Amino acid sequence: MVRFVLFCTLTVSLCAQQRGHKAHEHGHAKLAIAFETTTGMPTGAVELESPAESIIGFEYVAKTPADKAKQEKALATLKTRFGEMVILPAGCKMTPAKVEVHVDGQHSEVHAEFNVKCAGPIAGKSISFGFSKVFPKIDEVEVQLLAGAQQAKLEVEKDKGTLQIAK
Amino acid sequence: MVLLSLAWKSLRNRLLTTSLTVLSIGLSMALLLGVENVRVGARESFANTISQTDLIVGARGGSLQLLLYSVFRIGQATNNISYESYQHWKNHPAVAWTIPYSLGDSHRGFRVVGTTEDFYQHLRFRRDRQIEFAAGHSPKDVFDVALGSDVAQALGYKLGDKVVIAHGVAAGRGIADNDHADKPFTVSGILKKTATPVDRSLYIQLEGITAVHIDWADGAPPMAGDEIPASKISKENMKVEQITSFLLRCKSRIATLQLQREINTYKDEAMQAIIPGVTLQELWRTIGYAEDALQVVTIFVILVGLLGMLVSLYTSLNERRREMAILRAIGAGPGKIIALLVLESGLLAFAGCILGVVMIYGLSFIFQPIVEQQFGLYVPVQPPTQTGWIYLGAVIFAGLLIGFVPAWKAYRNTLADGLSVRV
Repeated sequence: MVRFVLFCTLTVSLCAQQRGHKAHEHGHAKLAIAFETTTGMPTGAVELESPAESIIGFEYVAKTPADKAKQEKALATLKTRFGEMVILPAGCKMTPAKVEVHVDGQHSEVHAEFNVKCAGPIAGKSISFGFSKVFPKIDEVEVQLLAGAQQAKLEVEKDKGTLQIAK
Repeated sequence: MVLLSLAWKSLRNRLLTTSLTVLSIGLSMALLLGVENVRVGARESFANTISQTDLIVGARGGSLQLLLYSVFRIGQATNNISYESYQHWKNHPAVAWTIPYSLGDSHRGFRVVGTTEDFYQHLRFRRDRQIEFAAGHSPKDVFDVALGSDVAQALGYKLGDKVVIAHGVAAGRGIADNDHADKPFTVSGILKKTATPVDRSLYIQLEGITAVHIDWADGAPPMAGDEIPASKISKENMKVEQITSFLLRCKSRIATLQLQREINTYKDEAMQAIIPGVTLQELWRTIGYAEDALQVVTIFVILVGLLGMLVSLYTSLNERRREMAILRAIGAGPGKIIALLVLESGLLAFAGCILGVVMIYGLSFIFQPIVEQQFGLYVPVQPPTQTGWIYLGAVIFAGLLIGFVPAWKAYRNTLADGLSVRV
């Protein structure tokens, strides 16, 4: 009996931990950009959260060598061509910090983090986008920007629109 | 250059008409720029209702709803969050400060907010302005209350007055049975006006909220004889178990992103963290239609102003038929006449714009404090915005363009027409 109760509690708590899924919409990615300051030589971080389907082309766990290779290649492209997807003000350099695939139930997401270092002030400059040039399946990106005291948001559809960093 | 001096002299010659035309353009220009300033001011005031807060955290639900009840005190939370979870995030190494809010009670239509000393220390609005006291101090005792300036003004309270808070947030007086009449609060402080929703609430300690509900069971007031008297309640024996939401400041902006993700995926309690500026921007987009309406009105105003200028130039042309004819007679070609009239009209528009800018500067300088006091709207006294410059340029251009109408008429009025007029 005790075992049974223990088993039940365990399974329930395990399940409870896995409940609650994030919204997941193919083609719709989320990007967050943060800069500590906009003057001097700002440092920052950029995070991308995208359905794996939009980047790798599938969402199941890659098991076959072909799938694994495809995944590797997509993630490598993400790392090397991220500067074409998120076009920061001139003088800002992004270096990949983490690029992973998270499996959440039947879906999986690509999570990428980049560190940013800028050589000069970025106040008043703008950020533009080119996601679909690199991954054509990404057609809508919700962009959040934190830059010093500024908090802004932009819905980027088919790479249209720029985000202005406040002066 | 000769033309310019001629245009100037001709305008000066008809000083009254000229001044009236300039005044009418100036007024419409001032109105246009004024509305533009109010528009920018409204947006700025709105966006700066809350500053320096990186995240607002509450129970999982709509982000707009969380913003509305935490910042604007509109609507209610569907769920509270446990004090334990709050403590967890408060002590998180990336967090600089937090301000907890416990909502749900009211006093004569104004919301009562349970909070801590952090509220008076850390809350910022309009970039870096902080809460100040017009009188008294922040609540130090469980049954102390600080009043927002609108509350004190509307209800005529002063320091030391007794305030009974009501259960629930329905407008007007709470149901008598639901009053926490057995545990009145004493006004310990009155806040200075902030022109933000802060002015429209009463502030007590988190323990105060616990204290008024301590003898309640299942959301109902205690039965007669079961009440716990206020004298037996002290801050120490009040255990806060839940709060509604909290504001949070991170030590760094990069940490904000990580913390937001951590809170949103927190396994122990369903919570959500929103970035206030981003949600405010979303909210503004939904209520921003009023902005467009204002803009349409001002465009009509400027059209009327320009039309007035056209009328005045056109009618003055009648008096000037002789002048035109003489100019033609002494050798000015039709091109010169056209240029002269276009220049005059452009000069009028230019002078009107300058007058408008001067007027709006003066008026906003004089009325800024009054508008802020009365409407809670901070209209910045600043050089014209980008849109303002576009308006100015457009009006001068339109002025030049309008000059072509009388110019065309003058061109068609032949030499003979002017000379044959009997004066």
